[in-house]
Amino acid sequence: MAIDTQTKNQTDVALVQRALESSNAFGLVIEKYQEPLRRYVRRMARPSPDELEILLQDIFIKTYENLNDFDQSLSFSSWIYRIAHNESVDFHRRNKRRGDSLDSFINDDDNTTLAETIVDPGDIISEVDKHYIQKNIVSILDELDPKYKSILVLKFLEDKDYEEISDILKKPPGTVATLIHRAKREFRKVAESKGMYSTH
Amino acid sequence: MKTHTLQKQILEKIRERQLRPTPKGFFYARDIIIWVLFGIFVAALSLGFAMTMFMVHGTDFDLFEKLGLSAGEKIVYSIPFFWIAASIALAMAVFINFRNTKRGYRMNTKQFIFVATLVVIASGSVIYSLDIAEYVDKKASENFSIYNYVIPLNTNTWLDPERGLLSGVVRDRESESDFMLRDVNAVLWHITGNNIEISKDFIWASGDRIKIIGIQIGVDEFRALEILPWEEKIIKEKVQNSN
Repeated sequence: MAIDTQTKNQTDVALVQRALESSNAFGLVIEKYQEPLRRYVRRMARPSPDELEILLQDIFIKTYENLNDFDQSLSFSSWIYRIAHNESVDFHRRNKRRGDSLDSFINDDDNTTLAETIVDPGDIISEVDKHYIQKNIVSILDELDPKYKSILVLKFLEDKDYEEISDILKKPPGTVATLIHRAKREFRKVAESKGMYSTH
Repeated sequence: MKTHTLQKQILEKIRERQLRPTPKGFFYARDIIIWVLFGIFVAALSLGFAMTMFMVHGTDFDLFEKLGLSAGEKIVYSIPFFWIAASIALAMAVFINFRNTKRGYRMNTKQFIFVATLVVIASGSVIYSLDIAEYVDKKASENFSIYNYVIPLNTNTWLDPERGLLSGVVRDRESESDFMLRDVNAVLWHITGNNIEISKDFIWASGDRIKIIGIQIGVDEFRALEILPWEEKIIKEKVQNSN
C-alpha cells in the first residue's frame, strides 16, 4: 500500500515536471485528476453543472499557476485536493445553500458506506431509519458545519487516510481524528433532529 | 467525452491567457517572508516575556508605600497588564504565523505550545539578563507618552528629580552624604544630605547602582533623604529586616 502510494506520487512528480516544461503535458494532470476532483467538488460545493465546469477550470488553472509551489515531500494528490477544497469552500460560502436537484449526486453505495460507518455500532436503528439516512445524506451533510462536512466527505466518501486529510485540510493528524469523531456525533445529531435516527 | 472537453477548454485558456507557472523564486521569497515574520514575532514575544519579568521583578513596593498607593493601586501597578496583553497577542501571532508555514500545520498544538514556551522562556531570560528589557522600558517611556500612561511606574519613574526621584551609578564616593551620581542620561549629579535614611545592611560603593528619594536643589544637585538599592531583591530583604 505504501509502495503503491510512493509509486503513484513519483508518477505525479514526473507529471508535474513535464507540465512545468510544457503546458500541453499539464493535460495529463487534468486527465488523471478531473474525475476525482469533479466528484469531490460536487460533494463539497454543490454547484450547478455549468458552475461545476467553471469551478474545475479554475481549480486546474490555479494548480497550473502554482505548480512550482508543490512540495514534493507531500503527495500531489493531497496538494491538488487542497486547492480543490479551498475553491469549493469559497464557492459554497459565496453561494450558500441551493436547491435539492443535485441530491442524487452521491450514489447509493456511497450513501450506504457513509451511513453505516457513521451510525454508532452500539446503536440499533431500524432499517427504515437507515434507509432515510441513506436517502437524505446530502441534506444532513449540508446542515453540518463545513469543517465537519469536509472531514466526513474526505474520510468516508473520498476514502482518504488521516495523513492525507491532514495535508488537504492543513490540520494536525491528531486534530483530524478528533474532528472525525465530532463530525460523526454532529451527523447523528442532525439526523436525529430530522427524525431519521433514533436509537432503541 | 466530458473528460476531453474539460481538458481542451483548460489548455485553451492557458494558451489564450498565456499563463505560465509562477516562478519558483516567488514562492521562495514568500516562504522566506513568512519565516522572517515568524522570527520577528518570536523575538517580540521573547521581549514581551522579558519585559513582564522585568516589571514583576522590579515591582517597587517600597515606592508604593512612599507614594501612598491604595491596595487596589498596588495590585494594578504590580501586574504588568500591558506587557502581558502584548505577549498574549504576540503569542497568537506566532501561532498563526507558524501554522501558515509550509508544514507548520502538521505539528500538534500542544507540542507547539510546549516548544514555543521553552524557546520564549530561554530567549526572554537572555534578553532580561542583558538588560535589554530595561533599555526598552526606558526608551519607550521617553519616546511614547502613551507608554507612561499604560505603565505609570516604569524605569523612568526613578529618573524624575523634580518629583524627588533619582537613580544612577555612584561615582567618586567621598562619604554616604557626599558623592557623585551618573544617571542613565549620563548627567552627573552632586548628591549631598544630612541624616540620610539608609538601611543598616545596605552598603554601596562607587560603581553600584542606587535609587534616591530627595529634593532637587540645583540643575545637577540633589539633596538625598533616603537611599535605596536598585535591586528589588535587596529592598525586600531590607523591608524584612526592618520588620
